[in-house]
Amino acid sequence: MSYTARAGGLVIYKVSVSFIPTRNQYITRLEIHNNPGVIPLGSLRLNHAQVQIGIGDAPENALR
Amino acid sequence: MRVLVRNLRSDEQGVASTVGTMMALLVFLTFMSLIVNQYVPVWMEDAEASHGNGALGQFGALKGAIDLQILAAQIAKSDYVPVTAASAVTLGTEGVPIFATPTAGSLFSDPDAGPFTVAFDYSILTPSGAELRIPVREQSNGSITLDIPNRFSVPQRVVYENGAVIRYQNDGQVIRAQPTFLVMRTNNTLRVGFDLVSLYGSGRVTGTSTEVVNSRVFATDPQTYDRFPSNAVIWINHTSAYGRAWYMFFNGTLAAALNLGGPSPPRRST
Repeated sequence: MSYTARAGGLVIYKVSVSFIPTRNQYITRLEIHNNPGVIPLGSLRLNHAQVQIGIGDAPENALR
Repeated sequence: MRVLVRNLRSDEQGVASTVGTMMALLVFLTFMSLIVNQYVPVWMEDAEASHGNGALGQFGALKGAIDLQILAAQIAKSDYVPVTAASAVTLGTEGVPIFATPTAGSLFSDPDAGPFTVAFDYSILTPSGAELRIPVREQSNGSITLDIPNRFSVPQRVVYENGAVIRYQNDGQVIRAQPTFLVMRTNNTLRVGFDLVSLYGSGRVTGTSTEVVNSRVFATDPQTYDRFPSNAVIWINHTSAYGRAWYMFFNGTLAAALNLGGPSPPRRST
């Protein structure tokens, strides 16, 4: 299943999802296209955070 | 030798107590049946549904704790000192004594689950004036899941994955607390913001008690890219059991920001 958004005949974004029965999981894909003549891509702010998680009777072990 | 023969004599006074005892037993059994078949299922269904809603709120608090730490890290920059936040999560539902056993839930963290990959090219200007194309690829992993195998209400999962809180049932899934994915159309240019959240550490706890999820943001890496090749494409790939929820979220956010419409919700059931 997918959807493609177009403007001026050009692809602005495309989002799709496909199911993998053997893994019981989905693969989701998103494409955002740069179209200088229609809607140019101005900026992308990407932030990557790293988080330590602790669950269970001795969560401090996971936090070392 | 004389044999003593007792003649049974009729006495209607004994019938009343026998009938009364039987009636009392019938009333008792009827009352017990009413409790077991009507009251307990309704009570447990309400309790399980209430627990699911409460767990969703607790996962919202967990997301809030992580988001606030990310914000603090961005503000403090190099002076950031990581702190540990503790968020309570109630695992399951207590039962009704004698009549119904508790519904135990399972809370676990999987650092390898739900990978997100963001890939694109940006360009930088060289001193000679030429455009140099630079590829970028970032990946995050990890999810925290509360699996609630309800017996009277609908079994469900509440999941924290890449900054989103997802509610999952066999007949549907939806993102209930949204991650950071911003799309703005400003001066006819597209501005996109996306946060990746990597989770480290694995653990599992099962039962009906209230347990604590400790979270500590120990690093953030905010980057802004503002120069792209003319044919650049930002690729975001994700693999998990909650792809339908992400599909609807991505499409809904982009459609609302760009006013370009969108598809109907997917109908596939797992």
